[in-house]
Amino acid sequence: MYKINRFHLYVILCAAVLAEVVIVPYFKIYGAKPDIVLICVAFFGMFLGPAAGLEAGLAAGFMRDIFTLDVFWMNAFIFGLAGLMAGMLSSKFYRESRATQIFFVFGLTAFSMCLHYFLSVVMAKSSHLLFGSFFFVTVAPSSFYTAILAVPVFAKFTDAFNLRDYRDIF
Amino acid sequence: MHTQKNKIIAVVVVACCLILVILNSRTISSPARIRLSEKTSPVLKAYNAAVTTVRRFLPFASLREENAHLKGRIELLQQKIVEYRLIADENNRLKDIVRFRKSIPFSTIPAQVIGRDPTNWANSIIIDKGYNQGIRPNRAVISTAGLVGRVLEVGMNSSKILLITDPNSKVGVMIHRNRQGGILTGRPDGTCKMIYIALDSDAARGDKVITAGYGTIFPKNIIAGEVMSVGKEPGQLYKYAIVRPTKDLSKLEEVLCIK
Repeated sequence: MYKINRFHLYVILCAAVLAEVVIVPYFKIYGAKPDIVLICVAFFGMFLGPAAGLEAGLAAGFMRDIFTLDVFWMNAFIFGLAGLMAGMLSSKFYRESRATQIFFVFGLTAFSMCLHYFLSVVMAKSSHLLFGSFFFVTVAPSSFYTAILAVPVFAKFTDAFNLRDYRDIF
Repeated sequence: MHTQKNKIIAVVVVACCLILVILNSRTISSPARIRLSEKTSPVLKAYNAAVTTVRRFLPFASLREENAHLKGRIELLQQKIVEYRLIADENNRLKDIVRFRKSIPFSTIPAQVIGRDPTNWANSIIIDKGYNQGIRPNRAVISTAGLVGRVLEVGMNSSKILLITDPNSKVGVMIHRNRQGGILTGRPDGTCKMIYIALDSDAARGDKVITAGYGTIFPKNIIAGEVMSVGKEPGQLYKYAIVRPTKDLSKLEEVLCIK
């Protein structure tokens, strides 16, 4: 029985962050690109529990902070929170359902991007960008794109790591 | 008795042959032969077709190995064509950059884009040149098409460039046609927004937006983009314009950093 461990978790997160820096921008559609790191964090939170979600979120966010020009630790905070939420809320839903996965990842992406917006506005004083415009131009398409991509990624991960009947190991 | 009978048979056979030879004239034997030949022709045709088919396929069997070898060579050559096209594209881009460098009045450092911002919020790129190659913070970055952004963080051998499409970027610009000024800020969808345009401005779609040269970072008259639409937000004393950068900044591969 092949199960996931911390080594797999960090390898997947490193690969996802590097892919986001180098490859993913080429898959932009009308300014929206999928957040594959968030998909990974959501997966770890949903299938491995809140502790794993938090750990994956903090690690992935920290790695993203290295490559972006955001306020340092902002991504770590947002992704940590997103991973924790994914872990805590996953017990309330049937996580194997594709519809649940799409809905869940869509909500999580929208939440993390909106939180990013408010923190950026407060800390970087980018008040000229209206929230409504940001939501419809960037948040909604990116969340939708990410949610659609989450289904095959989740299926691949659950099969690869045999997680269909998996319980919290963290 | 037995030898007598054999002799009679031999004589009859010879006599029959003689009769047949005598009868082998055009009038008697030829029509019979033609009729017989016609009766057997379908069989002959079928046999011939079978033989022809076999003869047609036999060389394929022997050429299978050569075919596989040639297919391998075609794949290799196709791969090489793709590689050569990529090299030719890169060569053209670099030629454009060299030509552009000669045509502008600033001294520049060419750099290659090695990474892009992973978030959906910020718009920045990472280049392969840093402090060791002469890059310094707050210097303008351009491409052959126009303005790209400014250097924000400098490492020893790499730097981060804040693109003009980042929400935190602010550049003093003016509309080329009527020289009316404004501030160009970024939007996460890859476009820019020119704010603080005077209400009486006749800015319109298609107008070119250039840098105004205020401040010390961006030199004057660098093209920043083109106006896509003009509008006014309720309660504001100024107009705004949505500006499309001259080039899709998410697909940049080479940039020039002004020294």
